[in-house]
Amino acid sequence: MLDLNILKLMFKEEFRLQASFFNRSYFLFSSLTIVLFTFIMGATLPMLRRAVAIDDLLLVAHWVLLFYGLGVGGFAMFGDRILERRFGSVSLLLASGYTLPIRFMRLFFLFYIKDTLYYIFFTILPMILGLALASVFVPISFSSLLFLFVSLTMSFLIGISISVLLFAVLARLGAVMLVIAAAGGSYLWFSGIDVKVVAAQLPTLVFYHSHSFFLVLEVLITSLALGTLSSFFIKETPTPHERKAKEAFMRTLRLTSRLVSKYGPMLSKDIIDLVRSGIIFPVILTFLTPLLFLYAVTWFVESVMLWDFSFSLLFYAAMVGFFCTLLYSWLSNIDISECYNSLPLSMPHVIRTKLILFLFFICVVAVPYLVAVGYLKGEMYLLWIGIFIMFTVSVYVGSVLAYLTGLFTNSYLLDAKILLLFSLAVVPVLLAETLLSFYYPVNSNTSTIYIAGLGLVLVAASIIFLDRLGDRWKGKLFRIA
Amino acid sequence: MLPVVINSLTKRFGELTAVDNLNLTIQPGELFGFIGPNGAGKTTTLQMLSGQILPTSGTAKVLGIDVASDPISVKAAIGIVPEIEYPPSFLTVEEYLHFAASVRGLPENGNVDRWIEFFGLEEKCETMCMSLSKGQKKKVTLSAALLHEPRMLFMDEPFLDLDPLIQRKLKAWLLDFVSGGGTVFLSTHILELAEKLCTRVGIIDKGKLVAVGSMEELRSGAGEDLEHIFVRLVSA
Repeated sequence: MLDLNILKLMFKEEFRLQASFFNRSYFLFSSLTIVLFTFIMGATLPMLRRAVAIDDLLLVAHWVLLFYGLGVGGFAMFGDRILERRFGSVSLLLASGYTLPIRFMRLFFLFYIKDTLYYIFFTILPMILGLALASVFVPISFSSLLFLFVSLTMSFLIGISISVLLFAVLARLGAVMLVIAAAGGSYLWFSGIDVKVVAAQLPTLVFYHSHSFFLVLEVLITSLALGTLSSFFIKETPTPHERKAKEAFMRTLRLTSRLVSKYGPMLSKDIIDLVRSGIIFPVILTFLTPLLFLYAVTWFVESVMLWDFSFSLLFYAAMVGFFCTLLYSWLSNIDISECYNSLPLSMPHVIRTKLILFLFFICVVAVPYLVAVGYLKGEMYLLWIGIFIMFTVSVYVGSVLAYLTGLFTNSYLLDAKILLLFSLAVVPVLLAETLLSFYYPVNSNTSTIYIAGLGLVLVAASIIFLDRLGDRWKGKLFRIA
Repeated sequence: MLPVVINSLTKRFGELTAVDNLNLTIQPGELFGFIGPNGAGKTTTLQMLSGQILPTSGTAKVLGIDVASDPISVKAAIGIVPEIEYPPSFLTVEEYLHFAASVRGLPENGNVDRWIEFFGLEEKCETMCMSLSKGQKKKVTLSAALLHEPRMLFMDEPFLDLDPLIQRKLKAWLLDFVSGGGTVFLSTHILELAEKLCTRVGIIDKGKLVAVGSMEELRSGAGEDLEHIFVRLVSA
């Protein structure tokens, strides 16, 4: 009974925590996006089947869910750092073992159960719901949806259980675990195992085909055993070690001041904070994942749906401008800004620093991405013009976003009025750049002139937004949004 | 030049009037105590005077600078100690103080060592702020506020979480500071402390300044201490 109550409280805590990062509407918004995506996938299934064997699709789907589970488990272990950086202190139910007579291993196991159920409810269930809606238009049987739900859930469960165990062991045994993992990985890599054959033996996939519920039981017991095992690695009397580091601020400041003297201190602080907390990895992944997803979707449209036009490098360059919204949102949101109230720092100054950091990430993530796409599509000759589009659109979108939402992007973007203004400012630009990317193969000279002209307009508009940003955010109190 | 001149200062948050038509002047060399019940408007007043939030109406000048039109210059000239502050978790003590010094435009390492030594933080220099105790975080906040040797300090419960030894040291430093011409605006709930340290006291209740003066001026009878004065004025 107590466990059930704690589990309920942990659910409430998770909801409120997510709502504090984004907004209450986030839950609905993210789940609806998943429903919409799987609905489109389901509705286009007959076309999809023409290009890819259904078995291959199922194989990919199950392994994606397994890796998603691994990611969720890993992210949960990163969670404390994100909270620490945003709120300055972490106080979750997970820590109640310090003051209440309850064992940490019990709390950890309940936390694992909570995370598993939470993501099944908000991710896997909407996926199946989208496919169920598509079944109105295409032949997808109810029983196959049911089996798919069970098998995908089991894949996720395997992923999250392995991940939680790995991180728990890593936290307890440290580098030893890393060495074992590296040795294991190397063995698999060099031992000549046929990855395709092994991949097809994923128990959940076998269950989907065989409908043997014995396998479900097996996966369930194994996963719970892994979760239980991981809780045994949790120390009952944790002694938080003092985290130390050598002075790096002055060294970083000397470097950043040479580049952007006025913003040097803030920029140096942010760089150290991002690197030392490890949050730099989720930031890069949050930006890179949708870009890779975009490539997969366009591949799907070109190679599976066999539409008779192709997406050029210029299209990807324009779309980076859309996805960079996520990047700015992360950079502005994951920072404890309240301490800036007592320093001679204005909000516009901090916002502009986030924009400099935003540009830095655009350079290190989006430029290599464009180079890779150009290489894969054999369009390296479009690279320079692509980079021009990518920078002008990204700078413009970043400026609009910074002007409209300041340091509170996640909360403000879910405000209908702000979202409408943002859409009015950004969508026509993205549309124009997209149309120009399609027009380029038809008339490269004319579209180059239009792209250059539009780029200059975007730069001018960005300067205006950056200038007006000062008035809009002047005198605002730094606070947790 | 008067360090603080306030005329009809008002702050509203929607329907709530947090500070209502406040008028006050503080002289150089004063250690001014600002007391009041919870939610009376102490922190809001301190935040307006230190350029953290803009007033709804009225004016306030700190060291001759208008807090509404030039809050950054106000923040650059003064030192602010908030009641609770979390320095960036993944920066070390030394790094955060270097950051604060560089934001204030101080030369490299300017004064950082002096305040690290004053607050006994030498052994914590390389410790990340996330690993500090509440009291140690308070010491870091105090150091960051004093780095540039301001002539005016705005302090919100500066003694909270500090150990008795550092409290004693800080009290002595504050008295030295005001005797040298510095000015302190001290918001506190610790009435004994205000009574002992402050040259003048202002009592705020429901956003209005209900009394201001020296202890002698506030007393209605012989021997009345600040606690009795506070209870008499606030519950009236």
